[in-house]
Amino acid sequence: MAISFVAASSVRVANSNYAQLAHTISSGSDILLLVAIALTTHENRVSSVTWGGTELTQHHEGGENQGDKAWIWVGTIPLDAASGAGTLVVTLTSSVGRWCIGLCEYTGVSQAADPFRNSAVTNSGVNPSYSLATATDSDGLAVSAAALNSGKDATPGDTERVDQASASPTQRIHMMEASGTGSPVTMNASNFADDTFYVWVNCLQVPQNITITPAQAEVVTSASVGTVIEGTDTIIIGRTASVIATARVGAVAVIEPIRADLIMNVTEQ
Amino acid sequence: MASGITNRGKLRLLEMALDNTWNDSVIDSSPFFIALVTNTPDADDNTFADMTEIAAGNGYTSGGAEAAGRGLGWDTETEDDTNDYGEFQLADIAWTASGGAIPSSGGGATYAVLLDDHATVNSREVIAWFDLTSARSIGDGAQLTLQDLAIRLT
Amino acid sequence: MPSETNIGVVRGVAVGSYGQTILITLRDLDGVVQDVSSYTGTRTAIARPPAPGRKIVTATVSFNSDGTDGVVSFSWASGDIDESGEWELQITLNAASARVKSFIGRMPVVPALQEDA
Repeated sequence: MAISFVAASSVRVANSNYAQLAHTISSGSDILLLVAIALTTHENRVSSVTWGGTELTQHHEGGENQGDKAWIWVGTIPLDAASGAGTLVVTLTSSVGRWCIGLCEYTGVSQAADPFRNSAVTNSGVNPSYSLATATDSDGLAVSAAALNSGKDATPGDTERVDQASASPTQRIHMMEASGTGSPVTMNASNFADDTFYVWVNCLQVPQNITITPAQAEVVTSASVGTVIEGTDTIIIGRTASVIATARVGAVAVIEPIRADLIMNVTEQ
Repeated sequence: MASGITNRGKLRLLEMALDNTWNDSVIDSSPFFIALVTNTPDADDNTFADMTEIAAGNGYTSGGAEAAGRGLGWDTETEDDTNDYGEFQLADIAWTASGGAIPSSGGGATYAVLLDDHATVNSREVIAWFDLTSARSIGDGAQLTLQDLAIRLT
Repeated sequence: MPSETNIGVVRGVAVGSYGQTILITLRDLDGVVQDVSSYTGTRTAIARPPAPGRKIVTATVSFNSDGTDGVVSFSWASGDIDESGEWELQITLNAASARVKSFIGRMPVVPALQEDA
C-alpha cells in the first residue's frame, strides 16, 4: 500500500498569536496530517498545535539566522481511519505580524509516533535556489516544507501541495513532495525570487512490519524422592510414592522371657 | 545424586503433551491457537475468559490464529545437553492488516497466548504466554510476525 | 543337666509386673525334656500367693512351639501378681483322657521400691 496525498489546506495570519485552520478528513486508512508553520522570527515561537484537542508531535523547528527572515515549525499527527471535519488550532508565545500555516493529508502512512524513515535534512540561506538529498524507501515519500520571505513555485520534479503567502511584506509557506524511487532524492527549489529561506526535508514511510521473537515460556522442573523410611522391611518409591513400607518399629523392645524349669513326669524313663 | 528429569525426558514430555506424539508417532491432531491480548497473564490463569483480547477486525480474528505447519505447528524440537533443557518452537505466526490497523481499535497487543482449540473461544485453555515487550500495533498493509514462540523445560 | 538355680524356681517376677512371657521347660527328675505335645486340651498355670487365705491366680498356658520340646509359655495379667514374697506355681496339662501336673515350683516375687501409679 503506497503513500497517497489526499488534500491540503492553508491559511495566512496577521498580527495574532492564535489561528485556526479548518480541514475535512476524507475516508481512508493510516491517515497522517503533516503541518508546517512559517514564522518571520524565532523569537515568537509555536507553543501549541492541536487537532481535535490532541497535540501534534513536533519533528522540527529551525530558521534562517540571517536577519530572522524565515522560521519553520513541522509536526505530524496520525489519525488512523478518522474522517470528517476538524480544526487545527495553533497558538504562539506572542503575537506575530505575518505568518502562514500549511496542512497536508496523506493516507497509507506509518501510524508510529515517528512516521519518518530518515533524519531530517535542512538548508537555509540567502541564495534563490537550494539542492538537498535524502535517501528514501522505494515505497516512501519525500516531503519538504519551506519558510520563505517570498518565493515562487518549485521547479518541475517537485510536486507542490501548499503555497501560501501572507500579506506584504510577504511571508510564505511551501509544502512539496517528490516520489521516492530510491536514494538519493534531490529536492530542488530554484527561482525563489527573494532572499532568505529555510527548508526542511524528510521521507514518510509506509506502515512498518513488526517482527518479534518473544522469550520462551519456560518451566523449571524438578523431581524429588518422597519420604524415605529406613528399616528392615521398607521399599522406597519416588515422588509419586504410594509408599509400601512395613517399617519395623523399634520403639517396643523385645523383652527376654523368664525361663525356668519345672519338674513334670510325662514320658517314659 | 539428586533426582531429576533427563533432557530426553523433558523433550518426550513436551512431545507427548504438545505434539501428541511419542518419538514421532502421531496420537492426535488437535491444533493450538495464538491470540493477542492486552492484559498481563500469569501462571494462575486458566482459560481465555481470564484474558482481555485485542479488538478483532482488519485481519485479526477473535480467538487468535491457528498454529499451522508440520504436525501441530511445532517445527523445531531441541534437546540441549549443554544448557540442560528440552524445547519446542512454533512455526512463525503472522497477521497482515488489511482495511485498517490491527488492533482495529483500543490498545496494542502486549502479550501473545497459546491456547487449545476448544470450540468456544472463551473456554480455550491458556497454556503459555509470551511477552511482546511493548504494546504492538500495525498499520494497514503491514505485517506482525511472532517468531520462534517456544515452550522450554529446564 | 538343668541349672540348679532354676530347677523348680521361676525367678524374675516382681510385684505389679505383667505381660512378660514366662517360658517353662518341663523336665523329668533326670532332666530330660518332656514331650507334652499330646496335651492339647486346657493348659493352665496356677499360682498361689504367700498370704494365707488368698485366692489363686491362673493363666492360660500355650506350647512355645509344638510341645515336643517340653517348653510352654504363659504370662501374668495386670493385677495378678499383687504382693511380694514366695508364691507357689504349678502347671496343669490336659489331654483327651489324661491330666498331668508339674511338681509345685517356687515363684519368689520381688518387692517393688515404689508403688505403681
